[in-house]
Amino acid sequence: MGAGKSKESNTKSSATVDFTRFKARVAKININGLDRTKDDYVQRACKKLFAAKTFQDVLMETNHAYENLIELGIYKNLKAFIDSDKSANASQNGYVVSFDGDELTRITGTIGTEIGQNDGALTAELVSPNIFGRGERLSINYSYSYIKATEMNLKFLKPFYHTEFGDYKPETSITIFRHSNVFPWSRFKSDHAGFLLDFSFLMPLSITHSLQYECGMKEIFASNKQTPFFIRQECGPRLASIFRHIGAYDTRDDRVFPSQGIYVRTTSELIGDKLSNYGAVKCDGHVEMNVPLFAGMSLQLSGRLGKLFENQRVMKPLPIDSLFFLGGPLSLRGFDPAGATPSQEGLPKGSRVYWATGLHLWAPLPFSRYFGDFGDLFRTHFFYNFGNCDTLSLDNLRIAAGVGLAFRIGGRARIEFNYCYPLRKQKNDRIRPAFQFGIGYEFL
Amino acid sequence: MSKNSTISQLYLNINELERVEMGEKIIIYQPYDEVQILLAENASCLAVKTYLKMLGRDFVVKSCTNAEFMAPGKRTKLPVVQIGAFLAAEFDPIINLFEHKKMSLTENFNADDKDDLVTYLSLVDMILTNAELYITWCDNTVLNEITKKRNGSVYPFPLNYIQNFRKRSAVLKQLSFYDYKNLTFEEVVDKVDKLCSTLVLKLGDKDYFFGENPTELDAMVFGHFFCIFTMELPTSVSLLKETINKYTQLTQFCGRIEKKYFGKIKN
Repeated sequence: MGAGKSKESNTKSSATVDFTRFKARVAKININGLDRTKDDYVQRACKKLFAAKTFQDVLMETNHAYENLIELGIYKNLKAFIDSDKSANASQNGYVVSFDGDELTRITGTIGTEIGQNDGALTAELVSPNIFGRGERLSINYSYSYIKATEMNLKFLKPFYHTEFGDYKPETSITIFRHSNVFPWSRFKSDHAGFLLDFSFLMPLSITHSLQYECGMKEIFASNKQTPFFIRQECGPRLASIFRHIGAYDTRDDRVFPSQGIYVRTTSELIGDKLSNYGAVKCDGHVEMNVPLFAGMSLQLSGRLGKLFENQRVMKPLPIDSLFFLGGPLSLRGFDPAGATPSQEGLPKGSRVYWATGLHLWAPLPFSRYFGDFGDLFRTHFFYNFGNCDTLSLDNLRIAAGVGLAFRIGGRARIEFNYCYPLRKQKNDRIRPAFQFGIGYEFL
Repeated sequence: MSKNSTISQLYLNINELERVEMGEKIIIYQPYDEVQILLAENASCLAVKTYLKMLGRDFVVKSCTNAEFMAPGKRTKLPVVQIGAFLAAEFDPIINLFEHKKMSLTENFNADDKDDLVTYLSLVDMILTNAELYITWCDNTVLNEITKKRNGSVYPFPLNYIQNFRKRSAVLKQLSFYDYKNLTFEEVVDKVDKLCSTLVLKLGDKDYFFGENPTELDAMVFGHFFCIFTMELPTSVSLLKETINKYTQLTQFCGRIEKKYFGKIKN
């Protein structure tokens, strides 16, 4: 954005004005409408404005500053004004940038619905933003889902955007949670309550990292009289102390129907059954790659891999609720949920290693251009899924293929309605040929 | 009846099934005897074991830390008995399961005796179990010196504190349901005293409560009393032991059953 360079190139007059011609400097920045927010918390957001040399720079940096201020989580609405400096001792190219807005109220609340993995939930949230004036945020939320899983969280979040490491977007939070999950396919329920410490930051190459420590109590309940004995043996409360790292990298152009870009997410956990005793490592990864083709079509390759390493001399084997289950409309289509998992006494018993891949050819609906925006909510796809449990080899492969229609819900979730042909299954697998319905946000 | 007729085949099959069931292994799941088990749980486990001995069935005892959570339902139940594919927890359901399997100590009882038996069973179960729970969870000395240590022993820190708290609240809820929560220790002992005199009346000079042969009631009474006798309790609650010891017929009755069915156990 050098001002000198652009001077030569605007001899021609054009309809658009080239703002780089005009020298400018920002004399003053007003940030208004803030009451309880501390000054130092917002100062860093606008610092770069003072470095602007041309009017183009001023515009761009005002935009950045605007985004930064919004990101701080203190404004309900915000407007930016640029005016010439009218004070008595103003310089010739001096400008004043003003931000006007309303601070968020002490307490805000939302009630809504949320899409989970093959599940819908009703959520209620109460938030107290910016408690101590530096973006601290206390929130309570409760969700109750269709399959009767409940979730309750009390979270305190403290961002460090205003410090000198602000570019890395550091954020710390502490959460007290209580989740209860239902595993209908294996006839048990699980309760998980405890606390979670989280430290997340953005590293170069736009990889988001999250370092977490979780300590809580996990409890498995047999859900009815038909629960087989091998699951009952694992019932009862246990301590779970977990160190976790989550890494995510996302360059997709859209979360629901991406046509290009790569998405990678990895989760690694070090699991212990006492505070001082760690004997298991659980790794889970999801990779997705999108390649645009002709006529609005795109090719999607995705894969998942999970493996559990256990040292049984240190710790007892992990119970069933920590294991992997494969199958279902979100992973290996054409199978029942957890239907491609090895079973015992007719019920899936979980697996310590699994992999699965998906190959999709996405295409817009025929004649979708006549429907306008409405047509963009739909996509058709051909898919080919294959994967396996208990081994990383190609033996005993499970394969399914099919065709389906997907519908976008909001910016994150989608509904799939597929016709599936399971092409290859293993003994005791439970398949669901023909129509299958899936709803969720992370598909294979 | 020809050998190949359908009915005879069916008959053979049914016989076959019953024989397999009789041969099925019986497994009792209970908490660890030495470090974990509490008074009321121990009593209930011993009652079931005595009952099985009376039936003349062999069984295997497996100790595991989470035995009380294996049974379905929110409340914890002990012991858990597994026979083949069947699972039952607590004294009553276990007896029902065995009766379902055509194993009973009271097959020849008439209706009056059966009613009597059921009444005594529920009376003994309610009073003794609640008295035991009261001692274990409401007496401060026992609670802090014995109960919390034993119940928490199988959980790592800080889960031991949480589990002690949870279990205590569950027990207090149960006790307040039976109106035991606000009683004093003396009042609880008084209830046990009354029960003992009732039982002595029923026992009389007989070997067992219902004559010559043992019944479920004998198993249950023995299970509870024997555990109270043998458990080491602090002096603050020794009144309970002394009260039961007053009734020599009952102590002799326990001695008889112990000798007959548990020759090896030393008091």
